[in-house]
Amino acid sequence: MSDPLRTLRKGTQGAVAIFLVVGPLLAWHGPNGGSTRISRVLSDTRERVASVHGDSWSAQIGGVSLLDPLAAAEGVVSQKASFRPLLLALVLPVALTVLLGRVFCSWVCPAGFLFESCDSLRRLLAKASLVPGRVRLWRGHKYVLLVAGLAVTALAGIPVLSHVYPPALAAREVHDTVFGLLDGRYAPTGALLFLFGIVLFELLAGRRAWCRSLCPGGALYCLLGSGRLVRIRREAKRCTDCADCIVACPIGLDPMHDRTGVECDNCRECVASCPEDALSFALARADAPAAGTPSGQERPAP
Amino acid sequence: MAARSAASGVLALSGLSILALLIRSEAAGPAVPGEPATLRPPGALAEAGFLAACIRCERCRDACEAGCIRIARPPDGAGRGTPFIVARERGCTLCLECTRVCPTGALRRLEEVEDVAMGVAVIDERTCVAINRTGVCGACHTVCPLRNRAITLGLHNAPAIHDDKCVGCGLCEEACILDGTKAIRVFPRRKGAA
Repeated sequence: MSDPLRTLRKGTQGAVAIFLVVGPLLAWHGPNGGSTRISRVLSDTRERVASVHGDSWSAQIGGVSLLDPLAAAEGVVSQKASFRPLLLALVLPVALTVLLGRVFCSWVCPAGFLFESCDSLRRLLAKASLVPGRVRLWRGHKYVLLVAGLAVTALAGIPVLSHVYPPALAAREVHDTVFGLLDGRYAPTGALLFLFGIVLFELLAGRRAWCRSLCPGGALYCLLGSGRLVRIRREAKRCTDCADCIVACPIGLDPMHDRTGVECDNCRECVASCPEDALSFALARADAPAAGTPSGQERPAP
Repeated sequence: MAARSAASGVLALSGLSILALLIRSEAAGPAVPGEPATLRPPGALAEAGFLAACIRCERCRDACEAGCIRIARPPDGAGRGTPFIVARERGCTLCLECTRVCPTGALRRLEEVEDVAMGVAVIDERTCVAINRTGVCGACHTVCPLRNRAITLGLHNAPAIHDDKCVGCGLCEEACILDGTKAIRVFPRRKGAA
């Protein structure tokens, strides 16, 4: 059941979460700016970690500036002008998404990590019959939300999606909380309530309900990664139609019928769940033709 | 599907418009109640352009060497998630790191300290101890990064601002020895701003 790439994915998510907390700690300059001894020590540390700072919304790693494509889209649409460093910061994220698909969602997104951490709680609640089960929301809502958000951003001149996009909000809350606790100015805001709300939504409406149907950033990543080269490929001969992969898929796709489409975030949960090792990554520009599942006679006898 | 996307679109547009209006009204006020406007970090575009271009990523604060950049969070005005400076508490040392990390150009890249135009310092001649001769000072002149250009000292160390040279870093306001309302205060002013 263990899959090294899935372990690596979980490790990446964890590293991002740790970085969200450690980043502001390293950036903080002590109560008196650069003038206290402790802050000098802190700032030396900061020099050593070079210019590593930011979060999943916008970051600088080494000399490379990185931007969430949604952040860049909002920045361009709202100021109605482009900016060279902004376009350069897009190169790596967009290239990775075009090649690998919506991997931001499963490998990096701190909100996705938060949702994933709620999985066991959600299962517990479901077992105790405390949640009403799954709500089937149309997946297209997220594309509508993306377009509407960019339209409002352009009209109002305010990057409005940055105030509802969970990874941006979660990262900002963590940053502000750490900074606020250090300088004693912490004040809870409505964003905290919103984040709590979408975790509740995850618990009540079903697994990754936000990511499947509502996330504007997810929508953008889906569009960018629609022609991805790395896909889940099923070896039809090995597949026994057990449907474990369908149960395992956090965003409700159907790897058993080769239908992962534009939505798949290559999280490898299906690969790890397959008892027959029938699923793996493959290089392909499109899903296998929906050939259906092997018929009964191809299935090995029990 | 058309009906579904239309309904979804109307809902999203109205919800997000309300949110944008809320954010806008919140951003209309100054960061500190009672101040005439919000002091933004170096290189900031004129206010409307700045609010449009800033993606609220807070990297300027992380990069700030002086630790003077604060991020607005209600009850602060100035637009939640945007950076501001309260010169009275801590002025900007003009390291210009923030202008280098800003990913969207909300803070324009600046190389020279002289190119900064955050604001301009104004002296209250009634309360400045060097001017009203109730004491000896010169603190503002001592800390000024553009000493002898933006601030010069006259008779009895009485400071004078040269507002064509002053960039508005606010170090003088932080250094002013008065408690409460300082005798030298920085008022926001940006190049190209209305």
